[in-house]
Amino acid sequence: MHGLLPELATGAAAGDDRAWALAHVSRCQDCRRDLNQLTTAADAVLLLAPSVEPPPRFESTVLARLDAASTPPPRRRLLARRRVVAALAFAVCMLVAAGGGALYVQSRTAEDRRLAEQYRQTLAVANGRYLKATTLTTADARPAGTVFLYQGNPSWLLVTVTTAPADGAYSVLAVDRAGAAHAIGTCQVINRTGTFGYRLRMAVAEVSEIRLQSTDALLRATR
Amino acid sequence: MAAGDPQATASFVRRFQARVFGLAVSIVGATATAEDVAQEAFVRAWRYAGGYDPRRGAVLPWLLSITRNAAIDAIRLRRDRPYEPEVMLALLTAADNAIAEPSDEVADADRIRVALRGLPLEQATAVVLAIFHGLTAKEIAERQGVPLGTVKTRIRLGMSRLRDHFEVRDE
Ligand SMILES: [Zn+2]
Repeated sequence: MHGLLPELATGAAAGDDRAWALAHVSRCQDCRRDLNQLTTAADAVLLLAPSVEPPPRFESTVLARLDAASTPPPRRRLLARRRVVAALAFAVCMLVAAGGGALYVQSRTAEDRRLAEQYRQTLAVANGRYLKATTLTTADARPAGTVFLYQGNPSWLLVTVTTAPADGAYSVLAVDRAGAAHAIGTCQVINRTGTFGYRLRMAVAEVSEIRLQSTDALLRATR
Repeated sequence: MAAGDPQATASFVRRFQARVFGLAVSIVGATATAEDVAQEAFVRAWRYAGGYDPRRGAVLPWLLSITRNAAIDAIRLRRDRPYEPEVMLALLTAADNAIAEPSDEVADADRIRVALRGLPLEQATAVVLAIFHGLTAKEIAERQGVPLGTVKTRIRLGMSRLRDHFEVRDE
């Protein structure tokens, strides 16, 4: 196992090796500490790239793009998002460890910090660059949570419900670009909240909408 | 980064743009692509701001790892050819590209530069191909015409020496 950690830290681990190593790291504190140190060293190598002043228009172009991206989340939502991020990190590890299939993920606030750090590594190490997030809304267009779609091996989605209009069992459906709905699983919303991870058996690019349907409510997230 | 405050966002961009653009240029070469990559890096950093823990301190390495990922995406997408690893190594280990402002990061960069210079060439090359070019061990083996096991060993030895030279401050 130890031999794979340097490959994880540099991003050189591929496919099965990477999945297996990440799964182990998510359970093993010693390896997590080692991976932390190796990742810090690998990150530091990036510091050696020389500074180069970009063209004069660069700053204004970036600011315009950030402005267009969407309204920045206010402080309170940022904190909520951190909790979501923690759940996400946990889900990544669990899904990798479980090798797919549906599972239920409980967000645990006490471990937020550790998980946030793990998430940073996961992003850096596990090609997290194909992560997409989209808002889950109620029928009357109020925000009810977030759906994260991750294109990878395996691909997965994570649904976090923060303010559902009603508790109960929701069927989770992925609607493809042709309009066909595919059943992904069910989730149990309690106290209007819940976090659920699922293996996604289609390409993220093929997903046009995620739907959560219960007898009392319909939640939708479109890409 | 303070995503809610335009003033703070502007000064964040101003403070780090030369580092981000410099890394993008180092990886993708072409200036137009590098500009796209650097812009994209800031957009992603802003989007992933929740994944950054300010108590850890080092915002620059975090931002640079996002930039690296954006650059690797661009390379893969456009099939741009990054610098040869030998050129890259010379660039990285040159003495005078130090950061202007004194900080922990200067010390980190100095230590890692010394460590990288001290590595056998084949270990340094394997590490650079993985970190900057985003190649897997298998791709490095194919590119260099050496067995996969050899590449794995080079990465393992190289990284453990870098790590030993680079004492982790806050663990
Ligand atoms: Zn272990």
